[in-house]
Amino acid sequence: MSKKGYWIGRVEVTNPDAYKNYVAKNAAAFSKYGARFLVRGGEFEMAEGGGAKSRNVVIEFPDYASAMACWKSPEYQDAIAARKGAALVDLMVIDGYDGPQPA
Amino acid sequence: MSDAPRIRQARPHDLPALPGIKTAAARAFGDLRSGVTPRRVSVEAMAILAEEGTLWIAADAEDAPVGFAAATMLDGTLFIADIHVSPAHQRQGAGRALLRAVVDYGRWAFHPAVTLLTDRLVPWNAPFYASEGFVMLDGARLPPDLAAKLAGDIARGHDPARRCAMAKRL
Repeated sequence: MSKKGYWIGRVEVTNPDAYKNYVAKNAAAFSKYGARFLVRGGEFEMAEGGGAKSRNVVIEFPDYASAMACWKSPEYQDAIAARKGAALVDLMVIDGYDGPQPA
Repeated sequence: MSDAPRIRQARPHDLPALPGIKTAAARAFGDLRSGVTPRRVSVEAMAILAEEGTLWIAADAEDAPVGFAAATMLDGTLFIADIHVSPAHQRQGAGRALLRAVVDYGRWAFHPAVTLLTDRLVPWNAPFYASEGFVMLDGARLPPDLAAKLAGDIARGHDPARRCAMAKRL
């Protein structure tokens, strides 16, 4: 098993009507780069720290390169343009880990 | 339970199977809808919906499609244009699971409501949607595009006394 790549996204939607166009547009990029939602919304509690946003996702890609390529793709950049001004987004593209785990 | 169809987003290789699923499912209506010219499923149109993420597949153990739901934006709502399960896989929860996938997506994508057209009387039509929280809309006060779809259905032979619009507010 090689290492996967991930998106960790935290989103505050400010204009739901415009944001739905983004959701329709991001599907093409996610499909092309093999994205899988590991977390999509879901109940949460900000156990430590602050700055929580109400909508949180963890999206898995086959590897870090494809996670990065998806974000840079014309398809996803097109989706980003659709949500301009409609949401506050923190998005981290991050490499997975396949080393030893706690016993 | 392991035999229950799994719901997933459609992929391009699923598309050719979809018209046949609709035809087989329509045939299961039998005499209930005699005289109705079914709306054909266009693979090209389905490809666009797949791209937009609003085409869902109920897949069997071999991952082959046995049902599907297709939705589009209509009058600012998410409109279910098609939801069908092949007769051999009906009564296993696939239709309900497909419907719930559409509703879940509608919430996720901030659609204010999910809408559809159906038959008032057939048990797996209006009563089924009502069991999932859909309410009947007043046919005289439909938004314009939904009204046009309803008129189109009636023109294709659906009984105007039975064809109805339903919505679930999200």
